[in-house]
Amino acid sequence: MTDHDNITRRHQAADGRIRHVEYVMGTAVSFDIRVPDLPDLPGDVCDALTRAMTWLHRVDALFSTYRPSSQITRLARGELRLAHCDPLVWDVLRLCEEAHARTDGWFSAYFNGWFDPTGVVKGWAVERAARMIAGAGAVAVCANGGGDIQLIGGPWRIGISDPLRPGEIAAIVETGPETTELAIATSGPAERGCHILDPRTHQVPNTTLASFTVLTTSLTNADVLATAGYAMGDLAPSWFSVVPDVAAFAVCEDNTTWHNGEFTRHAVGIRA
Amino acid sequence: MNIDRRLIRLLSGTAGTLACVALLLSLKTGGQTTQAVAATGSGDTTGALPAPGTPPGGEVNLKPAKPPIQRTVTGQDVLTRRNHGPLRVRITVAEGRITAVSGTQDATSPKSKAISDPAIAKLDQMAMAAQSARLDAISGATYTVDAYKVSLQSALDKVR
Repeated sequence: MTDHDNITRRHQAADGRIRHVEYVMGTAVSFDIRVPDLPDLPGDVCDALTRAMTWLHRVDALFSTYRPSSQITRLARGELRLAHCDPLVWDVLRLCEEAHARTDGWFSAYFNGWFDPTGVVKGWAVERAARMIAGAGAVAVCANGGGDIQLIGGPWRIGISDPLRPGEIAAIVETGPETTELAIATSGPAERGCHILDPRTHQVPNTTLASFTVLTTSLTNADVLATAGYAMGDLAPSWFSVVPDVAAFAVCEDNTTWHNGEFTRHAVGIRA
Repeated sequence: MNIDRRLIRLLSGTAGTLACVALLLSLKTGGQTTQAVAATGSGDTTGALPAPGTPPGGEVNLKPAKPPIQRTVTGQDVLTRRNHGPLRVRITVAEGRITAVSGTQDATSPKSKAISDPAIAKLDQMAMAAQSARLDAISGATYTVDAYKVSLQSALDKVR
C-alpha cells in the first residue's frame, strides 16, 4: 500500500526532486519529479503523488489477471458481466478496440481467447499517474513502469537497454526542456520467455527482432505500438516507416539495429 | 532446464531492473547531495587520507587539503522472490557520486549461488554503467529484481 509518510519524508529529503518507488502491478513503478521552488506547490505535488499511487493500486485490483478477485479474472470465469463492471473496465475495453484498429489488428486483447487487457493497462495507468502529478504543478515528471516510461516536461535522458548484451545500452534518447510529452516503451522476449503472441497464429512471433522500442507522446499508445511492432517482426520496419509522429527503434537478433526517421529526432546515440 | 539456461534468462531479465536503479542513481545531481553526505557522515564513514601537503613550488600550504568524504553504507537485507537467500546491496559514495556498488547474497544452496552470483555481478555493473551514462531511466525488459532495488534504495536513503 501507499505510504504517505514515506512520500513526505522522501520529499523533505530531496533537493527540488521527489523520488518514489511503488511496488504495484507485479513490477516496480518509479517516479522522478522536479518540483518548483515555491512554498505550497511541493505539498500539492506530494498529495498528487499519493493519489496517483492509490490510483495504481486500484487499477491493479480491478485488472490484475493474477488476482482471483479482480474484475478481469471474474469476467474471464463468467462470474461477472461487462455491464456490471467498473466504468474503468469499459474505458479499457474501448482503448483495446482502438488499439486493435490502429495497429491493423496486430494488437489484440483476445489473444488468449478471452478479454485480457494486460497489454494496455500498465501503460495507460502509468501515463495517467504521471498526468495527475504534472497537473498538480510539477515542473517535470519521469514515470517508469518497469521499463515503460512516460515523460512530461524535461530535460530527461533515457537509455534503451540492449537485449543482446545485458547491462549495456543500445541507444540513448534525450528530451529538451521544450518537449512537453514523450513516452518510451520497449517490447521483447527478455522477461520470463516470450510473452507476446502473433494474434493471427497464436504462436510466438516468427521474428528476427530482439526488442522493439516505440517513442510517442502517450505511453498508452507507445506500449501498444511496441507490442504490435514486436509481434509484426520482419514486417515492422515497413509498417513503422509510414506512421506519422511515431519513432521506432529495433535491436535485431543478428546484432544489427534499425530505426525510422522520426527516431533520429530524439536519439543522441545509437550503438554500432 | 539446466543452470546455464536459467542463468541466461535471469541475466537477460535483470536488464529491466536498471530502469529503477538508474532512477535511484540520480542521487548524483548537484552539490547539495554532497553536503548531505558530509553532514550525516556517521556510521561506516571512512575519511580518506588527505593529499600530501606540499604543493608544487615548495611553498607550504597552511590550509589543510579538504579530504574527499567517502562513505560506505549497506542497504537492508531483502528476501528474493525465488528464495535464493537474503540479498543486500552496499554502496560507497564520495562527492555525491556512487564510487562502488556491490550486492551480496547469502545463497541458500550451491545451485542458488551459481544462479545469483553472476546475476548480481551484472546488476552491480549495470548500476555503475547507468550512473556513468548519466541516465534518468532505462527502457527495456520489465522483469525486476525487486530485492536488489529495495536494498539499494535503503542504502541510498541512509546516505541522504
